[in-house]
Amino acid sequence: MYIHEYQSKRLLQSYDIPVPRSEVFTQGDSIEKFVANFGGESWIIKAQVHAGGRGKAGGILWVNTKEELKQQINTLMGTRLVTKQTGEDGLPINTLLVEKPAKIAREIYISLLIDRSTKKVTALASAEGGVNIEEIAATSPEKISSVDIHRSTGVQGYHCRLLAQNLQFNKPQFKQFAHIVRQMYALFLEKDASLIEINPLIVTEEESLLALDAKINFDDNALFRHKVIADLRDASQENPMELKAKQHDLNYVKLEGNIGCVVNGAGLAMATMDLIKHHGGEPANFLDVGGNTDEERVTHAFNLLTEDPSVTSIFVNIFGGIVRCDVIAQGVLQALKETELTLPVIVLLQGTNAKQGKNILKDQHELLFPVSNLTEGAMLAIEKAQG
Amino acid sequence: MSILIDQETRILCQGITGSQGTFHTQQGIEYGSNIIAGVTPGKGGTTHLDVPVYNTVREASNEHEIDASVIYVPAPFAADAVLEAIEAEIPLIICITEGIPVQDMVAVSDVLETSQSNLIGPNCPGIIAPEQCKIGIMPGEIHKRGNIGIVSRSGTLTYVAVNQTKDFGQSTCIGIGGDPIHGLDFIECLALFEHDQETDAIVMVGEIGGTAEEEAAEFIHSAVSKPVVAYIAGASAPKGKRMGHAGAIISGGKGTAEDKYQALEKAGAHTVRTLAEIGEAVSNLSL
Repeated sequence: MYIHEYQSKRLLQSYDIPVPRSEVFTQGDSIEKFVANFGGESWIIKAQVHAGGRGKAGGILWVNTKEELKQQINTLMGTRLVTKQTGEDGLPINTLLVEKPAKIAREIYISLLIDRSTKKVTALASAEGGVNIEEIAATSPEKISSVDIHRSTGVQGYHCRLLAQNLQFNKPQFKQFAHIVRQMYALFLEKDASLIEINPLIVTEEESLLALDAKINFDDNALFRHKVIADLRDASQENPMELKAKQHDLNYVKLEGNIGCVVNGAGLAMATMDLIKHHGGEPANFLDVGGNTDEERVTHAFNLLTEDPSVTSIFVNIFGGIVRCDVIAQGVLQALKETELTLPVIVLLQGTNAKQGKNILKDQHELLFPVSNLTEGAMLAIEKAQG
Repeated sequence: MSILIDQETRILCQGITGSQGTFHTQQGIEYGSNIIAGVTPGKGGTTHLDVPVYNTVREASNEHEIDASVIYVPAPFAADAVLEAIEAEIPLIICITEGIPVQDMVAVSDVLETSQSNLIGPNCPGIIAPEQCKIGIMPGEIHKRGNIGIVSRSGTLTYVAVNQTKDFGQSTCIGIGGDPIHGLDFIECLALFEHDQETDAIVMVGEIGGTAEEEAAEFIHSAVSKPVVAYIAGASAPKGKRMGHAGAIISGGKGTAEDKYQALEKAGAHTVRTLAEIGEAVSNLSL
């Protein structure tokens, strides 16, 4: 699960990690009252959306007067921010973070995540923080220090020394850094985070460390034991169709193409998209109805796909296991009736009772095209999608 | 022969009285698997599906010789169940459960490292030696005993690979699971197939993400003499929308389908670019 920057910073602050002084403006707040309470002379307004690349997209603004502050809050609030990560629709701006600008001497990078190859929590640090960190990782990986943290030991002094080896801290700064690493790790463990990234962690002109931007992601599978974290979810930042899918226990991701896919199993769903692309088509979505799907889920899946105006054909690819293909075939027929579908539906049923399933679908509907293998299915879905 | 399990394998089922545990134990018994005991805390002393139920794994292993334990415990308690099986020194643990918190698996893998147990999964269909022993949720009837070994990260893709190799049959099929942290990996399974006399060729089904397939490619190059047919799912998957930078840094830009294909081709594996071609590639091996 993703949360907003302001939420991440509040969490960091609650773990005694220094963040800039800030105020949060949300919909319904009185702008006069908000601005009146502000001290200082200049501020940074940061649009709170679940995407990177906000600065270049105009979602981070410097203002120097209260009048300007008011003006820009009014301009940003309620609009949608389009960044390189959001897609062309962008994401709604419902919250703004207004921060006191920090005086930056230099920018550092630090993060914690789980390294699937070592099966440990890993810390990464670099003396060159900021937006070009991935480029640094690709061109000069030696500039990034990394170290695994064992669960049984937690953060030791050597972890911090290794991470700080190129960071050129003085003694008090190192002490502050070690404290930040320990606290980040405590937060990571206690809240089941999957990523904590402070980028940049700055050294201010006053020589102390400050978390200027932060990203914290959480393990969806662990939210059942963190109500406080689960409550931070902002549904307005999620694709409405993806949200709806989630309510029906469907794993759905919207894509750019026109061939709707209904598949059981995440691996097979990906492989089906690959197959369509391989033959020159474009999948409209990733949709996993679950390894053990049933009629009802198939109906929900059809309902979902009919709401996507870009879908011009539907490819149903089900491998019957515990759930038999004849049951799925009945489900497809049922769904066709219920949704009054006007799109061609290509159906591939394999595995348990595949033949019976295919017989059920035969000559039942003019828009229904049962197929016998993967390639045939993908090619026909592409052909029918073109109208 | 098969790998890890056979007709004789004595199986314990953790979570046997739950709906998943009940259903798949029944299916396993019908298939001929040797399920000899179950565990559900609080239900010790009862029998379920004619199988004796115990409160703890240790109690069950005091009463029976156990070779493998299969876990159908819900996600919040599944790591606990795996750790309990490790404590009781069960040689092979198969965890079917989906949705275990990843940090629970970090803890499990620390304990697993210093133990004698092997773990398959979590979030996997399990393992089957066709016509001998089925441990997990795969549909038994699509399998046939034969000479192809299958190892896969994805459940339904394993079934597709089974379906496409039905002319040959399978020695053993293992779903190692799709979670970021899991037990047995491609390399261990490849090594077992390499030394298994019944296996003449191996089908490996990978996915994007991580570097397990690249590492497997190195192993294939250095230590596998049997032909390997490999497919990687996810070439068309869009990149994560907001992963932060850390994921990209740690993988060093690796983990794409193309990287994996290149590594596997360099290692001499027979790669196929769509899952529809797996069967054909196996047929072309002239086994």
